[in-house]
Amino acid sequence: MKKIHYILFGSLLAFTVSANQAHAEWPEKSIEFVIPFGAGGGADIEGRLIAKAMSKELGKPVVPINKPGGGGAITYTYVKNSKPDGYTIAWNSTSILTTTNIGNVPFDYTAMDHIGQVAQQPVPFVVSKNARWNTLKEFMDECKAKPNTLKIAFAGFGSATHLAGVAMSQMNGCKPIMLPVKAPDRRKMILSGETDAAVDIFFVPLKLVKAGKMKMLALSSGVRNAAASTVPTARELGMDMDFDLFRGLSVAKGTPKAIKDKLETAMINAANSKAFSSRMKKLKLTLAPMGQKEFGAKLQKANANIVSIMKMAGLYQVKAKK
Amino acid sequence: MLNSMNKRNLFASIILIILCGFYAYFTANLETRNIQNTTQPSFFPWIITVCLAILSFSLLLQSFLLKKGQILKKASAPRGLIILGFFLSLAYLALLPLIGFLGGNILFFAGLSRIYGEKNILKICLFSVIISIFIFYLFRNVFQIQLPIGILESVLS
Amino acid sequence: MSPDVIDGFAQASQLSTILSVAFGCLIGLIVGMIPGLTISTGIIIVLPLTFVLEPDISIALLLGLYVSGMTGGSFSAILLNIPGTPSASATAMDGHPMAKKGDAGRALGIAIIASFFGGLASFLCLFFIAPVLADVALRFKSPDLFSLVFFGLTIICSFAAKSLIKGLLSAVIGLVIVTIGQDPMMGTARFTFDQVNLISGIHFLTALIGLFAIPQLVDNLSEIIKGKTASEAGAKIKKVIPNLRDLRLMKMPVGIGSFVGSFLGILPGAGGPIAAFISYDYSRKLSKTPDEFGKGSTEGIAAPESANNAVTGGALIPMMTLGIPGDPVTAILIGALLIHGLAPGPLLFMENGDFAYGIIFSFFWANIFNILIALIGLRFLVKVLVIPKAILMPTIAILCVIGSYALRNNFFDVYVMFGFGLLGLAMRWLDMPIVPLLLAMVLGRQLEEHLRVSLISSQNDITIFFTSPFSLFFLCLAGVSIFWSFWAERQNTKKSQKKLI
Repeated sequence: MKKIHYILFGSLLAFTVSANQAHAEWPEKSIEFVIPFGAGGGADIEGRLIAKAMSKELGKPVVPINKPGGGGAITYTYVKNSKPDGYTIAWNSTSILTTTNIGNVPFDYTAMDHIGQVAQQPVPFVVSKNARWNTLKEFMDECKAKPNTLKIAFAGFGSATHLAGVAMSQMNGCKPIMLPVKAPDRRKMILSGETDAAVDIFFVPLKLVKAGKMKMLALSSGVRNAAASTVPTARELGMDMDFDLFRGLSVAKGTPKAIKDKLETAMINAANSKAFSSRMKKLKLTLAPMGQKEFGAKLQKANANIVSIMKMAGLYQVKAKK
Repeated sequence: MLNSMNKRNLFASIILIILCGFYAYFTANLETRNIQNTTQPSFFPWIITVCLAILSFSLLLQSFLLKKGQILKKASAPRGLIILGFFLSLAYLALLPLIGFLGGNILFFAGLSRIYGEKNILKICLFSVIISIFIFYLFRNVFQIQLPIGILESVLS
Repeated sequence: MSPDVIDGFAQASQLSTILSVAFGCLIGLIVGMIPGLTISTGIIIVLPLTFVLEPDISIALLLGLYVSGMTGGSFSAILLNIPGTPSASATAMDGHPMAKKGDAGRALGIAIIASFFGGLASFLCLFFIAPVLADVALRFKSPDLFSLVFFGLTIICSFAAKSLIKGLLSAVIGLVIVTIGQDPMMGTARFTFDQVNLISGIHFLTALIGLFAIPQLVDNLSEIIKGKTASEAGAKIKKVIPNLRDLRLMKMPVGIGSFVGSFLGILPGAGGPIAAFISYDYSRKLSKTPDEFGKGSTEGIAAPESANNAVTGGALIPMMTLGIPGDPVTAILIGALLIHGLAPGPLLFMENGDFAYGIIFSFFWANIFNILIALIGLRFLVKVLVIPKAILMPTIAILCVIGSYALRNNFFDVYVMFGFGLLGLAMRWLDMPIVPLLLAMVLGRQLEEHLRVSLISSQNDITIFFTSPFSLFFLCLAGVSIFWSFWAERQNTKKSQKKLI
């Protein structure tokens, strides 16, 4: 029994010592890289790739762990409650703004510190190639004239695609039938004519656009995308919206600045590494590494935009426990 | 004990009807959402409740109406060993978060190996240690899946 | 030929994919061969691997396992008269008598070659039918899809159970379980009892591990006590390649088996055992020497063996084109695709055509490696039959626990897996089939989503399920399948009660 005590005491001692040295020699043990998606998905593979590249940068293993569920709620709660020592980082996404504002978790994005962004993609408004509308305005005008007839498919109430769809239609005063459908079905529904339009992620429909089966009428982000440069942005079409689907890193609030800076450099270098950038290119995701400052400003802007859209759509904090 | 299929069906149908009652109760208390033109989250569970109710009552009826089925042969299951294995698994699962996969698996393997009829203590020790460690490192280093090792973490590092 | 076909072939023929197929075949032959382990167990063993491998590689692994598991099952059926997998029960009827005559090698050779041709025939079916069916399925709208999934579930129930009520109950319990977690449309929590771990629902792979592996572990415990050992497996295997006369005799039964197997494979839930027995029956009726059947006839081995391997290719057709699995293995294949963000369904061919054809060609390679590894490695492989259960079973138990943990890095899932193990035991005690429950867990979300989207889209007009011709057709089929199995069950009980009197 005594022996165990010694061992426990010794390890405790070792632990406190190492904790004290954290600033000097961070990192000195492996880092937990928490992914809010299930193992094997696209976002997971990218997370694993960047984790691998970051281990090279930091000289200590960055170990990916999946904690999917609740639109990212489980991961964010876990990382927010972890020790602010930089050994637990979250692979974040736009869900950090949606899941918080819809009220899945009792905190907002400012409850964490954010290291930066790695990649982003816009949210397009897609219709079939043979559709009678060639611009978003034509679609919205018809929708306004005949409320509750045109159908728009999106990913699920409260998701980023839902917000984009709601924002685009409400800002144009149109009342469509909103169909919540999962990803591949959404595109199939356009092809089969079951829905008139869909709000989707960017890169998969892009393939179908190139194959001449669909066309994009608008993008949700502020600037045009190089992969589809003819598609106008929502802002150009006179709508006040500027958000895209991003992926980046977050840590617990109160993590020392030295550690955050180190993570930031490692992340940006990893994002620009060959293995990672070629993968992004393949997926047509825009690689847009961004540091703490820039990302913080972006989050603030996007968050305000999302809150106002959610309020307009009656989604703000609807899931919060009263 | 319950050695005719009819008796088993009766027993199961009663359990299922109780389950159905609970399910209906929770379905009735599901959150609703004020969004126009859509079905509520409780829509599908209500359909399931109805199906479950109909089917469980049919099973109940069947167990009364059907002529006496044949008496099932007594299974020659080694009841003692199964119960032992069950409690071993329970203990293992309860302790798993504490002792972790490495230590836990070695002990669990050894216990199961004994239950499955290995009598040679040396063989048990050898195989349980080798196979558990092999699997553990395979996962940790080849598959990159971190299996926690509980209190061993502080001892080993 | 479309560029996707060529890309798919190139993808499936990469070294890493081929190695993975070969590895899958090896595992498949081993688990298929060992009585008490089924293909599902094999899948459970390699499952964690699929979380970390690239999608095409993990699919290749699983396909190799699927194909070879079917063949491996016949080895122990022939050598020990214990079918390694349920699909091999028909093979034992003639395979074991032939082995007893001292022709074990010949019997195994016939089984392997029949498997190969059955698999190849179903590969052709898959290659030609799947893209066409996917094209048709692109026209399906939500009501059609709802009816299709509904039909899939009812036919699974009617095939799986001796009692229709129990089959349906099993499926409904699966649906109850699937409603735990977030509502797929609104995202509200349902039946989660404020448990964070339940928000994303219960993963069907967790359920699968428990449902299939734990009853098997218990079974094997009983077997050991009975003292069944596999020592006779070391029986001398002389010549494996069958002679010309055998090959000539095999033509007809292999043709029947391939056709019946591929066709029944397409129907969800029918599966290997049924196809094997049906083609055994037909071959006997059409044979010139029906009296030989049951005494070690070549045709009697060839027919069921080609049929159960033909089922594999057939089963991939609805899985790839409609996203509807017909058995646990194809359900896992869907799971493996989904965790990689690739949803099987009609769009798979359009959006990821190279990947879809990659799967088809991996299936082709699986058949090639199956025959190669089986023929070359036979002598060594049968040695596996003597691995003591006292080592094998604990290893599998540990892998179950690790597999269910690794899915989401969560101890909670381990407990859920164990709970499902108990449920699996209870269901067996009741003679209630497990497969409908599992497939309901895979299909339940789709069922709900298609139903609700249809209703939103039609503004709550139920008649759309009957006005769309596709939907009406599938609903009629569902009705027929329920009625048919109800009728068959009544006939059966009448018969057995007559016997009792």
